[in-house]
Amino acid sequence: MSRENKNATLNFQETSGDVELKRTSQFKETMKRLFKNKGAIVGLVVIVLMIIMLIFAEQIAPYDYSAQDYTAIYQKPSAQHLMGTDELGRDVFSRIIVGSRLSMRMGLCSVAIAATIGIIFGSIAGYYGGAVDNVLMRFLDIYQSIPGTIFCVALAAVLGPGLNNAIIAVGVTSMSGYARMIRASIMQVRSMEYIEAARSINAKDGRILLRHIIPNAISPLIVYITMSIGGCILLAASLSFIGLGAQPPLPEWGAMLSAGRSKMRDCGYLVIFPGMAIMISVLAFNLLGDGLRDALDPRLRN
Amino acid sequence: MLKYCIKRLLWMIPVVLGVAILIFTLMYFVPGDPTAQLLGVEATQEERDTLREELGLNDPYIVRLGRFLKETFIDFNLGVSYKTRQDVAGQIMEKLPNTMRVSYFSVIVSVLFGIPLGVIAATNQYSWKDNMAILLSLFFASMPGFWFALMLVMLLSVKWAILPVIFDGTWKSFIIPCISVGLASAAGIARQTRSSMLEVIRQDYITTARAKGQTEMKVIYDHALKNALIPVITAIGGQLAALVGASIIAETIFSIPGIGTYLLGAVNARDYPVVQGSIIVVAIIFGLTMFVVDLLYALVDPRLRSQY
Repeated sequence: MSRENKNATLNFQETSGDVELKRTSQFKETMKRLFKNKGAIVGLVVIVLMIIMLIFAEQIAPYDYSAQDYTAIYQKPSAQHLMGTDELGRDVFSRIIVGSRLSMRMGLCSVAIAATIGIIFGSIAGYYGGAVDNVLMRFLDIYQSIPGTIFCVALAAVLGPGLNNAIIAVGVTSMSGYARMIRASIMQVRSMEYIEAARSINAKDGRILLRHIIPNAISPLIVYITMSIGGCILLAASLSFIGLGAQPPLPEWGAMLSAGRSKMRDCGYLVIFPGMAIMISVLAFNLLGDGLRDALDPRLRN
Repeated sequence: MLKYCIKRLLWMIPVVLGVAILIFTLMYFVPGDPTAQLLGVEATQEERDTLREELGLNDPYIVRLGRFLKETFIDFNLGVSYKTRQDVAGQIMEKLPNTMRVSYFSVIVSVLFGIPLGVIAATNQYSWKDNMAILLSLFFASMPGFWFALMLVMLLSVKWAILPVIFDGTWKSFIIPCISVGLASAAGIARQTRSSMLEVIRQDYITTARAKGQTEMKVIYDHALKNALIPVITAIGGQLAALVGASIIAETIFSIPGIGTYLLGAVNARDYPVVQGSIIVVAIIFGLTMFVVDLLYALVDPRLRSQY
């Protein structure tokens, strides 16, 4: 089999009695299935819009996010302030737009940290097996015995308040899922015969890992990463809500919710808009992840 | 069966020990001096040093760890709070019931919503009902629990005044916290139920039941769902862990006097004994819960029962 055809799938097309063999790559097939899923498209569109919003935040936001205007505190949403103003007269709409940068940063960075630590952990456990695997899995059991939010709070307390510390706390807390997933993928492939065959022709460990194990593990990993971005954004917002994450005057959505809580009765908009922003961004990632999961499901492959 | 129980319970011991060591080590690295909290700003350096000696804070790591483990597991003394000078174990026992009530009622909510949603999605696969059910569960999973709780409070307590605004121990005051926490985890249960049902419905014995002329309701509920629920039980157990964590947020919003608020206050005040004690207790409870869940799992599935 030639190298170019390695990932080809064969589609039979009947056109007026002739049977045509059409070659498409697995990637194109997956993309086609993904775009059939309306939810995934909506999610993707929202994410793209968010990215545009955070790149051009300064141009889109009508006011500076920290500009205080004491003549206009606690204004209800109006033509001048689309989402009203807060206790210092700052425009809520501008703060939400700039806040999208913080949320994206928190989501992506904490997932990067979690994935890196988790993959290294899981790879070592899965690949070497035996006693190493046992010890590492026991450690993960202990790790997972403490509920996530609680562990995250304890970690954030050790590191101190602040956005970067919150990112590290969320990342370290979330790593166990990645570890288990990579370990499972590796163990699944390890026992297959083509690994034994590769070893018998003296292929090095690194090569086996790179060319055989990783391509197999990638699909569930992509889905997991997408969905955990949403989860990490939520966890980081929760940390900010209880005061351990982003500190004022940063316009982080969770912190804005916490600040607006005391005036919730009269100024409901202070609480409604940041929460909706969090929800929409997390929902977008979840929709995309869900669509990816369905598109990459091996059971649906022909 | 008994052997399995004993083995599982014995296994909890090293895990709890591990949790204790992990938390102690974490707290060891917390910056800041508890004596500053305890004595206030006016205390002299001498007073601080004496207190440090008294509390044993100057000893090396191993000594402190050993002392901590001995006190916790042999004397069952979780120490005295640095801040309030009250017995930590006693305080935890007082506050634990509230947290457990919120968590367990939330689980009930999530099961009540999640399982029917999953069944609807599975039995109407690819139809609009399936898509709607999935969308609904994703919607609630994406919603920040604390935001949903605040929205509910705004509507039900402030605008319509049918539910109390702050927690006062009555069953009514449990409604909003449990719903807001429970609906988010209902999504996970719905998803698990759906995929599990989809697998079961494809089995031969379901086709046989239908061929025998059983009503569709009986086929779905008596045959399919009962078997599909088995992995869902494990998922519910997993949700319990997440819910204990999520109830911290609920407790903060509604001022529920539970372990969550206790822990949070201690974390901010560098109150090590309280933080360590609370987390160990939570880990033990979680371990016991998972043990019960695994037991249920083995009991419910006759295939596993014969193995043990």
